[in-house]
This record gives sequence, C-alpha cells and structure tokens, in this order.
Amino acid sequence: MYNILLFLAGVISLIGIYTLLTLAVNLHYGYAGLLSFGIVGFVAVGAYTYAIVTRGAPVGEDVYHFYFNQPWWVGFLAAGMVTTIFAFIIGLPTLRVQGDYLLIVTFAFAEVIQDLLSNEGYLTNGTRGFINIHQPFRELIPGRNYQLFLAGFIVVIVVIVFLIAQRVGTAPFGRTLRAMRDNEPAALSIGKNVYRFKMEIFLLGAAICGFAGAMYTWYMTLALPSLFGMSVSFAAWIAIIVGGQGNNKGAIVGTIVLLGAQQALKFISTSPELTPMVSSFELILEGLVLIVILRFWPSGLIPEKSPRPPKLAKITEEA
Amino acid sequence: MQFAVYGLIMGCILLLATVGFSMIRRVEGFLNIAHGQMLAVGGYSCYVFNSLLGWNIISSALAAVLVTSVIGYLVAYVVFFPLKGKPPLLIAIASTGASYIIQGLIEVIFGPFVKQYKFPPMRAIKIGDFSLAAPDQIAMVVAAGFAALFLHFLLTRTETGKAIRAMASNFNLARIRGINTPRLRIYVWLIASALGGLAGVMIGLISRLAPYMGWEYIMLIMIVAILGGLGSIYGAMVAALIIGLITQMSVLVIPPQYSQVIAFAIIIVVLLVRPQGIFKEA
Amino acid sequence: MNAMLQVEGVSKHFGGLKALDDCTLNVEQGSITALIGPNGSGKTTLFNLITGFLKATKGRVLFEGREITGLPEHRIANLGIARTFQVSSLFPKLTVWENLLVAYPDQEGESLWSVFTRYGSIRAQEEQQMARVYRSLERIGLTQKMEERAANLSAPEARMLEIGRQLMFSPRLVLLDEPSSGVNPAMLDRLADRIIELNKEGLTFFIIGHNLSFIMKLSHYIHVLHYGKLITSGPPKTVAQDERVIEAYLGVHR
Repeated sequence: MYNILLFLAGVISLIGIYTLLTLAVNLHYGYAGLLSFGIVGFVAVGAYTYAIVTRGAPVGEDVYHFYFNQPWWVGFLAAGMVTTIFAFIIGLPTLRVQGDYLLIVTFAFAEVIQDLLSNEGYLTNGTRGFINIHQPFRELIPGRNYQLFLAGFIVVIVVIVFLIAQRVGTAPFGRTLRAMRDNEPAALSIGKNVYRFKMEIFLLGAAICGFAGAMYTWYMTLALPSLFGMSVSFAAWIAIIVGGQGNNKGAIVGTIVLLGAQQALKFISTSPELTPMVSSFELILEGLVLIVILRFWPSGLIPEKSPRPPKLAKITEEA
Repeated sequence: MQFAVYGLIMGCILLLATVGFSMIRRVEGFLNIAHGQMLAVGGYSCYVFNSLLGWNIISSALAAVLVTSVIGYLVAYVVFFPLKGKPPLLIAIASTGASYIIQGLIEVIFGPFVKQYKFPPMRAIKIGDFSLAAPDQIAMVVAAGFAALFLHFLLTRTETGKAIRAMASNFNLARIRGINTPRLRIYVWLIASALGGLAGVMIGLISRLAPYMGWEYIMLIMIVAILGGLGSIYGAMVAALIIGLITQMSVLVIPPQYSQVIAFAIIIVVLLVRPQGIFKEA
Repeated sequence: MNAMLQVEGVSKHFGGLKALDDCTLNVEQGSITALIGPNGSGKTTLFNLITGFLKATKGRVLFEGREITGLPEHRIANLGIARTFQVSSLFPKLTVWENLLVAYPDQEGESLWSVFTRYGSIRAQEEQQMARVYRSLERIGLTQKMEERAANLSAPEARMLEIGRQLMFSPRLVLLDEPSSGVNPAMLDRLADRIIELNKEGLTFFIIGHNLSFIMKLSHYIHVLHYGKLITSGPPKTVAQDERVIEAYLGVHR
C-alpha cells in the first residue's frame, strides 16, 4: 500500500512538472500565438542554474569549477531569473519578425543548450552531470516519506502557477494578447505595442520553465544533459494540442492524459529486450496521436472558452 | 585544404536538403520539419539497396532517391494535404508528429544502432603533393551541381517550372488561371523529397546513418533557409554553401563541438541585421 | 450648414504616379457623404491622407476649421475622426464585447506587472469602460449578441462591430471604407438602416463605396473621383445622370 502511494507520488510529481511546461506553452502559443519550440532549453537552463547555485565543492572526478553552495530557495529564484535573462536575449531580435523565425530560433536554442551542457564541463560537469541535488526541506523529512512531501510541494506550486496563468488570461493583458494572436495588423492599428506584449509573455513562460527545471532536478535528484532533449518540448506541445489550446484547464488535462499514457506504456514494457522497441513505438504513437488530433479535433479536448463580461458597478447614463 | 573540401561537400548536402525545404515553404507555406526525415529515409533506403540487397552504390543511390521521393509525397498526401488551409504553425506542428512517426518506424525496422554502407573509403586524388579530393567526394559535388543546374533549368525554362513558380507566388491566382495545381503540387513534393533523399545518401557516404539523423540535420536546414531568405531557392543554395564552409572550416579556429553554436550565432546576427536573409522572399 | 471636413487642393504623388490630383471637396456636418469612382481612382488614398496615414504632396485638410494636414495618425484619431478599413480589423476568437473593450488605448492592466499589482484599479477601470461598451452595443444594435464570438457574426453585424469599435472613442466624423463589401445584397438594407440611424444621432459619415445602388440610397451628397481628380459632386440624382460619371465607369469597364 505504501509502495503504491510512493509510486503515485512520483507520477504526480512528474505530471506536475510537465503541467508547468504545458501551462508555459499555453501562455506562449494558446494566448499569444507564439510558436516556441525551445521550451526544453529554458528548462535546462533553469535546472542547471539551480544545480550550480546550490552545489557544494567538486568531488572525485568532477570537473566543474563553479559552485555557490546556496540554500534551495536561492537556487530556485536564480533558476527563474537566469532563464528570464536568456529568454530576453533570444526574444529581442526574434520577436520582432514573423512567427516562423521564432520556431527555428527556439528550436536551435534548445539544441545548442543541450550541446553546451555536454561540452562545457567547467560549468556543467559535462556528461557526468550533477548528482546529489539539494532538495528543499530534505533534512526535515528523512527517508522515503520525502517523495510524498515533494509531490505535495510540487502540486502547490502548480496550483499557484495555474492561478497566475488564469489571472493573466482574464486581465486586459490577456485580452490584448489574444487579440494580437487573432489579428496582429488590427491590433497594431488600434495602437497596441505588439512587440512589448510578446516579450512580456515570452519572459513569463520562460521563467515558468526555468522554475520547472529546478523542480525537475528535485524530482530526479540529478541533472544530466541527456534529460533535456527535444522530446521534453514535444511532450508539452502534444499535451496542449490534446488538451486544448488557449486555456489552462486544457493544459492540465492534456498533460495528465499524455503522461498517464506514457507511464502506462512503461508499465507494459516489462522485459529489457522490449524496452527500446517500446520507446520507438511510443514515438510512433505520439506522432500519430498528434496528427489525428490536429486533423479531427484541432481545438483539443477542452476548447477555448470565452470569458464572461465584467460586471458594471452601477448602471450609468454616461457614455 | 581537406577542411575546405569537406566544407564544400557539407555545403552541397545542405544545398540539396534545404532547396527542397524551401520549395515546400514557398508552395505550401509552412515549415516542414519532417523534411529532415527525408534525409534519413534516403540514407536508409540506400543502405537497404546497397548493404542488404548487394547492389552497387550508384544504382542504390538512384533507387533510394526514387523511393524517398515517393515516400515524401505519400506523407504529404496523408498528413499535410488534409490540413491545407489551417494556420501554417499548426501544420508545422503536424510535421513534427510526422517526423516522430518516421523516426519511430526507422528505429523499429533498422534498430537503434548506426549503420554504414558497403562502400570502400577512397583515397584522395593527388596533384603533385596536394591532396585534392577522393573520387567519390568529387562525384558528390558534381552530382549536387548537376541537381542545382537541373533545378534551375526546370524552374526557368520549362513550362512546368514556370507554372510551379507562379503557383508559389500566388496559389489561388494560379489555380484560377488554369494551372493544374493539384498535379504541380505532387511534382513539388516529389522533387523536394528526392533532393532530400539524395542529400541523405550523401550523408551516408561521408559519414554514418543513425535513426536520429533527421533531427540532427533539420536544425541546420532551417538555419540555412533563414540565412538564404525563407522561401528563396537560390538564397538557400548560396546560404548552404556558406554555412557548409563556415561550419567545417571554423574547426581550424574553434573546437568542433561548437559548430552548432556558430550556426546559431549566425542566425541571431542575421535576424538582427537583415531578417530577410541574403535574397528576399521573391 | 458647416463644412466639417475640408479638403483643399490636395495632391498625392507616388514617384511619377499622381494618385490624387488637386482635389477639393467638403463633407457637410451631419451628412452622409459618399466618395465614388472606378478602381484606382484614389479613394482609399484620400482616406489615408485625411487620417494621417499618408502625407499629402500638396494641399491641406481641415477638420472643423482646424488644419490637420501632416498631423500623426493617433492625434487625428484623438481629434474625433474614426476610420474603418476594407480588411477586417476584428478579432475572430474574441467575443463582441471583448472586441469593443480591447480597443481602449492605454489601459491599465496591459502590462504583466500591473496585472498583479494593480488589481483593484484595473477592476474599476474595466467597470467604467464596460459602460462605454454597453452604450456602443446599443448604438450598433448588437446588445443581444455581445457574448458571441466575432467570427460567428453575419457580415453586416461584423461591419457594425467595426463601426462600433470606432464609436467607443466618441468620434464626430466616421470614414467608412467600402462598408458594403462582403455583405450579402439581401442584408445591405439592414446595414444602410443602421448607418442612417447613427447619422440621425449626429454622426457625420464619409463613405467610400463601390455598390452604387447602396450608395445612392444612403447618401445625401456624392463626390466622384476619376484618376485622382474630382470630376463632379452633387446629390445622388444629379450625379447618377451626369454624363462624365457614366463615361468614367463605363470607360473603365470596357
């Protein structure tokens, strides 16, 4: 019984982390129409920033030079901040031009980051990665109970981010964002500074990914370059297409469905010979699901719902 | 000197791959991420004919190109044609789904390990003390050159080619004017996929095949496409050679792992300075 | 009657091409005035000049007696001139009320930071602006459909929504660029009626039109452009029988 609980806690943690990514994709694409494929790049930056900031001195065959030995919450904040800086640098030239370019640049960004992670040993310890990641409150909760705590902690953060995303969507900011997504020239003609809106939402989404990256290291207790490949980005994308673009509930549902299916598949592959086969089949299946949904249910499971109008304080005659 | 030759060859490979990518971008209007997989399909098909069936390398290459062009068209027919009219970003997402499927199939059929052709490495031709290039390398550059010239003639001299260009500029107008757009679309996909397949064969010749090679190259392809101006075919050709040379020759100055980073830095600079690329999207 | 809008000797050259050639015309206050002419006669160019999107090569434009030639677009808009475009300026996935509300310039809550820090004042602002939205909805007759997505509106309703958005800023002169385009002929009457009603409330209209029967029914006064020149002006009946007008239209169609 306890073991089942532990297993569930692990699944919930993973789903929680991916939900943050999907929420970020929703902010970028669902609300603002930005095609950012490089989600995993931001996640990687966040993860490694956390690892480096909370790190102690190198041991054994470690080759890294930088470590700051800070408490977990400093690392967490740093993860968000550094990621935002990266996003700003990328966004500066790219958000000014057509959407296609953003796709290519963010794609390239993610690839380059993964490369750098493997190569810059003095910073990232190369392919050895960082193990023994400093988890929050670990000292207070010994043993395996910690998994349960972590799952709860992650869920709390997810709820907070969800509320933030909801608020962004219903505020004037979100409304203008969706207008810009629907008809950019018209948005410009009513005087909206489209570039600024794009940049702000891009930074917010990237920051969320950065925090998610730090959380990912809590879950995995390590940071390796191989963890941050394009499949992470695409998982978030598939989740949002399945769950429904343009709304945060859809993001959550989509992530649960997708990761639930992935975990179920892992359950099925029992013998080690089958495992590489299964991962290939997983690829094929995910591709199929993506295409089928795009063809037949392009709005996803939960279509975008329009918000209700704000109430009038009192009915005024004034026009 | 070897690096220059290698750069030229890489440039030729990128040229073949990116021209096809640009054609699809012009005519269909979206970024076809699955195009990278055409390289993989080409490379692996050649492997099938060459290493498994024992054909000689030239026949294998030709057969592979044919097979790839058909497969490319079929993928378009099944995945992209039904989605026509939807926003191009959505179709681009669908193309990533298609990429997944193709890569998954390659893994299932061929296994996850790298493959090599049954083709002996050739020694370089020497002029005096100068090591020029091996016959197979020269053959590849010549082949790429021929393909580029062929394409140029096709697009500028033949009726079909001109019709394709008209369709690329304005699909609806071309349709109204009586140009047989459905048939031309098929041609475009066949040609683009064939070019990608040829590029894949060449990759197999100079290096090795791996299931993720489609993903390896699609990023470079997109970068070349931006540099050359999204949708410009001639721009893609020029940009491919430039990037091919730069990434290979930069090895002389900078350690090789950084070639991707350099390509990335190039596009950032391009976007800052001249987003339309070398040639504007004509 | 006052001339609300005065165009005096306006010319616009694009390189060697004379898009507008020494145009002089007036729009009377409280009228529905139309601008017609074959394709390429310079109608949209004139609108672009009036609203400040283009600069005139020669001549001047006065609004309510004040010269507005050369002023930037947003200033002219703030003076009380509104303009719709031929291309849809609506946001399809947004509801009708959102399409109206979003047009308000310089809203609080449009920067990410303020979304969280100025919760209270944003709410107050939204409620205030909704009052304007409701008023606009009434004037364009879309109150019932306020929660409908813009994409689901019929063509005349969509046109009215575009006008409605402009009404949010209480303009006194509205320039309509081809309001009848894309509207089913059966629905044109409805559109015309609404414009007439708004005009009775005091709004002056200057309309570019292609559908001559629509224009004739609607307008009090018509100006005719041909190759950038004003060839005649007058009430609809007079213009319809004018030889030069018939020639201009038929000549081009040959």
